[in-house]
Amino acid sequence: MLMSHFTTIKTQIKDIEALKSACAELNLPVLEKAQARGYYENKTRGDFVIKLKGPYDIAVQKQPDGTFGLTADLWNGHVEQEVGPNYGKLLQLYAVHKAMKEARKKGHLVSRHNKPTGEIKLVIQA
Amino acid sequence: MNTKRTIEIIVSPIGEVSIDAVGFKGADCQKATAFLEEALGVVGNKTKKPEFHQVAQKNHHQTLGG
Repeated sequence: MLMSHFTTIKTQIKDIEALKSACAELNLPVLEKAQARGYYENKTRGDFVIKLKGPYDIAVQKQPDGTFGLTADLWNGHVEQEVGPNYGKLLQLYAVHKAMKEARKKGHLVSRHNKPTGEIKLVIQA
Repeated sequence: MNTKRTIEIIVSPIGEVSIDAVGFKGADCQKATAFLEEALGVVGNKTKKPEFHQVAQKNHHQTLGG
Protein backbone atom coordinates (compact mmCIF):
# COMPACT_ATOMS: atom_id res chain seq x y z
CA MET A 1 0.00 0.00 0.00
CA LEU A 2 1.21 3.48 -0.77
CA MET A 3 1.38 5.88 2.11
CA SER A 4 2.09 9.52 2.34
CA HIS A 5 3.13 11.15 5.53
CA PHE A 6 2.88 14.65 6.74
CA THR A 7 5.29 16.47 9.00
CA THR A 8 5.17 19.91 10.54
CA ILE A 9 8.39 21.64 11.50
CA LYS A 10 9.25 24.80 13.39
CA THR A 11 12.11 26.34 11.46
CA GLN A 12 15.48 26.71 13.15
CA ILE A 13 18.31 28.66 11.55
CA LYS A 14 21.35 26.42 11.22
CA ASP A 15 22.88 27.54 7.92
CA ILE A 16 24.18 31.09 7.66
CA GLU A 17 24.56 30.85 3.86
CA ALA A 18 20.85 30.03 3.45
CA LEU A 19 20.04 32.94 5.77
CA LYS A 20 22.17 35.21 3.56
CA SER A 21 20.20 34.02 0.49
CA ALA A 22 16.95 34.86 2.29
CA CYS A 23 18.27 38.33 3.16
CA ALA A 24 19.44 38.87 -0.42
CA GLU A 25 15.90 38.15 -1.61
CA LEU A 26 14.65 40.87 0.77
CA ASN A 27 17.47 43.20 -0.35
CA LEU A 28 18.96 43.27 3.15
CA PRO A 29 22.75 43.28 3.51
CA VAL A 30 24.34 40.92 6.05
CA LEU A 31 27.52 42.05 7.82
CA GLU A 32 29.90 39.86 9.78
CA LYS A 33 30.91 40.82 13.37
CA ALA A 34 29.10 44.14 13.38
CA GLN A 35 26.92 46.34 15.55
CA ALA A 36 23.13 46.13 15.38
CA ARG A 37 21.35 49.45 15.87
CA GLY A 38 18.67 49.65 18.58
CA TYR A 39 16.65 52.37 20.29
CA TYR A 40 18.55 55.51 21.26
CA GLU A 41 22.25 54.66 21.00
CA ASN A 42 21.68 51.09 22.15
CA LYS A 43 23.86 48.76 20.14
CA THR A 44 24.28 44.98 20.24
CA ARG A 45 27.23 43.13 18.77
CA GLY A 46 26.25 40.27 16.52
CA ASP A 47 28.21 37.40 14.96
CA PHE A 48 26.26 38.62 11.94
CA VAL A 49 24.04 41.65 11.56
CA ILE A 50 21.14 42.01 9.13
CA LYS A 51 21.01 45.67 8.16
CA LEU A 52 17.42 46.84 7.90
CA LYS A 53 16.21 49.88 5.99
CA GLY A 54 14.58 51.35 9.12
CA PRO A 55 16.36 52.63 12.25
CA TYR A 56 17.06 49.20 13.84
CA ASP A 57 18.93 46.05 12.78
CA ILE A 58 18.75 42.35 13.60
CA ALA A 59 21.66 40.71 15.45
CA VAL A 60 22.33 37.06 14.56
CA GLN A 61 24.09 35.16 17.36
CA LYS A 62 25.48 31.64 17.27
CA GLN A 63 23.96 29.60 20.11
CA PRO A 64 25.73 26.83 22.06
CA ASP A 65 23.60 24.21 20.25
CA GLY A 66 24.85 25.37 16.85
CA THR A 67 21.67 27.17 15.81
CA PHE A 68 21.51 30.91 15.22
CA GLY A 69 19.28 33.18 17.30
CA LEU A 70 17.81 36.48 16.12
CA THR A 71 17.71 39.52 18.41
CA ALA A 72 16.39 42.97 17.69
CA ASP A 73 14.87 45.99 19.36
CA LEU A 74 11.21 45.49 18.54
CA TRP A 75 10.20 48.98 19.71
CA ASN A 76 7.50 50.66 17.66
CA GLY A 77 7.20 47.82 15.15
CA HIS A 78 10.08 49.03 12.96
CA VAL A 79 11.58 45.55 12.63
CA GLU A 80 8.22 43.80 12.28
CA GLN A 81 7.34 46.09 9.39
CA GLU A 82 10.30 44.79 7.40
CA VAL A 83 10.52 41.10 8.34
CA GLY A 84 7.07 40.32 9.77
CA PRO A 85 5.96 39.40 13.30
CA ASN A 86 8.59 37.25 15.10
CA TYR A 87 10.86 37.54 12.03
CA GLY A 88 8.31 35.34 10.20
CA LYS A 89 9.12 36.51 6.67
CA LEU A 90 12.81 35.96 7.27
CA LEU A 91 12.22 32.47 8.68
CA GLN A 92 9.94 31.64 5.75
CA LEU A 93 12.51 32.62 3.13
CA TYR A 94 15.30 30.95 5.09
CA ALA A 95 13.35 27.66 5.10
CA VAL A 96 12.63 27.99 1.36
CA HIS A 97 16.27 28.62 0.43
CA LYS A 98 17.55 25.93 2.80
CA ALA A 99 15.10 23.29 1.52
CA MET A 100 15.90 24.10 -2.13
CA LYS A 101 19.64 23.95 -1.44
CA GLU A 102 19.42 20.57 0.32
CA ALA A 103 17.11 19.06 -2.32
CA ARG A 104 19.40 20.18 -5.16
CA LYS A 105 22.41 18.79 -3.30
CA LYS A 106 20.68 15.41 -3.56
CA GLY A 107 20.14 15.91 -7.28
CA HIS A 108 16.37 16.48 -7.06
CA LEU A 109 14.50 18.91 -9.27
CA VAL A 110 12.73 21.64 -7.30
CA SER A 111 10.12 24.14 -8.35
CA ARG A 112 8.96 27.10 -6.26
CA HIS A 113 5.49 28.64 -6.27
CA ASN A 114 4.67 31.83 -4.39
CA LYS A 115 0.99 31.66 -3.46
CA PRO A 116 -1.32 34.67 -3.20
CA THR A 117 -2.02 33.65 0.42
CA GLY A 118 1.61 34.43 1.29
CA GLU A 119 2.59 30.78 1.57
CA ILE A 120 5.44 29.44 -0.54
CA LYS A 121 5.14 25.95 -1.97
CA LEU A 122 8.05 23.81 -3.11
CA VAL A 123 7.60 20.69 -5.19
CA ILE A 124 10.52 18.26 -5.20
CA GLN A 125 10.69 15.41 -7.74
CA ALA A 126 12.23 12.62 -5.68
CA MET B 1 3.66 -0.04 -10.58
CA ASN B 2 5.20 3.27 -11.32
CA THR B 3 3.97 6.26 -9.37
CA LYS B 4 5.36 9.75 -9.49
CA ARG B 5 7.15 10.43 -6.24
CA THR B 6 7.09 13.99 -5.03
CA ILE B 7 7.76 15.83 -1.82
CA GLU B 8 5.58 18.88 -1.34
CA ILE B 9 6.67 21.55 1.10
CA ILE B 10 4.51 24.44 2.22
CA VAL B 11 6.24 27.24 4.12
CA SER B 12 3.86 29.58 5.93
CA PRO B 13 4.45 33.33 6.28
CA ILE B 14 5.49 32.73 9.90
CA GLY B 15 8.12 30.18 8.89
CA GLU B 16 6.33 26.94 9.72
CA VAL B 17 7.09 24.12 7.34
CA SER B 18 4.76 21.29 6.34
CA ILE B 19 6.25 18.39 4.43
CA ASP B 20 4.07 15.94 2.57
CA ALA B 21 5.62 12.96 0.81
CA VAL B 22 3.45 11.46 -1.90
CA GLY B 23 3.79 8.17 -3.74
CA PHE B 24 6.39 6.48 -1.55
CA LYS B 25 6.17 2.94 -0.20
CA GLY B 26 6.27 2.46 3.59
CA ALA B 27 9.61 3.36 5.11
CA ASP B 28 10.89 5.03 1.93
CA CYS B 29 8.64 7.85 2.91
CA GLN B 30 10.54 8.57 6.11
CA LYS B 31 13.83 8.21 4.30
CA ALA B 32 12.78 10.58 1.56
CA THR B 33 11.99 13.47 3.87
CA ALA B 34 14.44 12.89 6.75
CA PHE B 35 17.13 15.08 5.16
CA LEU B 36 14.72 18.01 4.98
CA GLU B 37 13.48 17.54 8.53
CA GLU B 38 17.04 17.49 9.85
CA ALA B 39 18.05 20.50 7.78
CA LEU B 40 15.13 22.70 8.73
CA GLY B 41 14.57 22.31 12.43
CA VAL B 42 12.45 20.67 15.03
CA VAL B 43 9.74 18.25 14.06
CA GLY B 44 6.46 19.29 15.65
CA ASN B 45 4.28 16.34 14.75
CA LYS B 46 4.03 13.52 12.28
CA THR B 47 0.82 12.24 10.88
CA LYS B 48 0.69 9.08 8.87
CA LYS B 49 -2.01 8.88 6.33
CA PRO B 50 -4.41 7.15 6.14
CA GLU B 51 -5.73 8.19 9.53
CA PHE B 52 -3.08 7.86 12.16
CA HIS B 53 -3.18 10.27 15.06
CA GLN B 54 -0.60 11.06 17.62
CA VAL B 55 -1.20 12.97 20.79
CA ALA B 56 1.83 14.90 21.89
CA GLN B 57 2.22 14.83 25.65
CA LYS B 58 4.19 17.28 27.72
CA ASN B 59 7.12 15.91 29.75
CA HIS B 60 6.90 12.62 27.94
CA HIS B 61 9.76 11.53 25.79
CA GLN B 62 8.72 9.91 22.57
CA THR B 63 10.84 8.08 20.12
CA LEU B 64 9.34 8.17 16.68
CA GLY B 65 9.74 4.95 14.80
CA GLY B 66 9.77 4.69 11.00
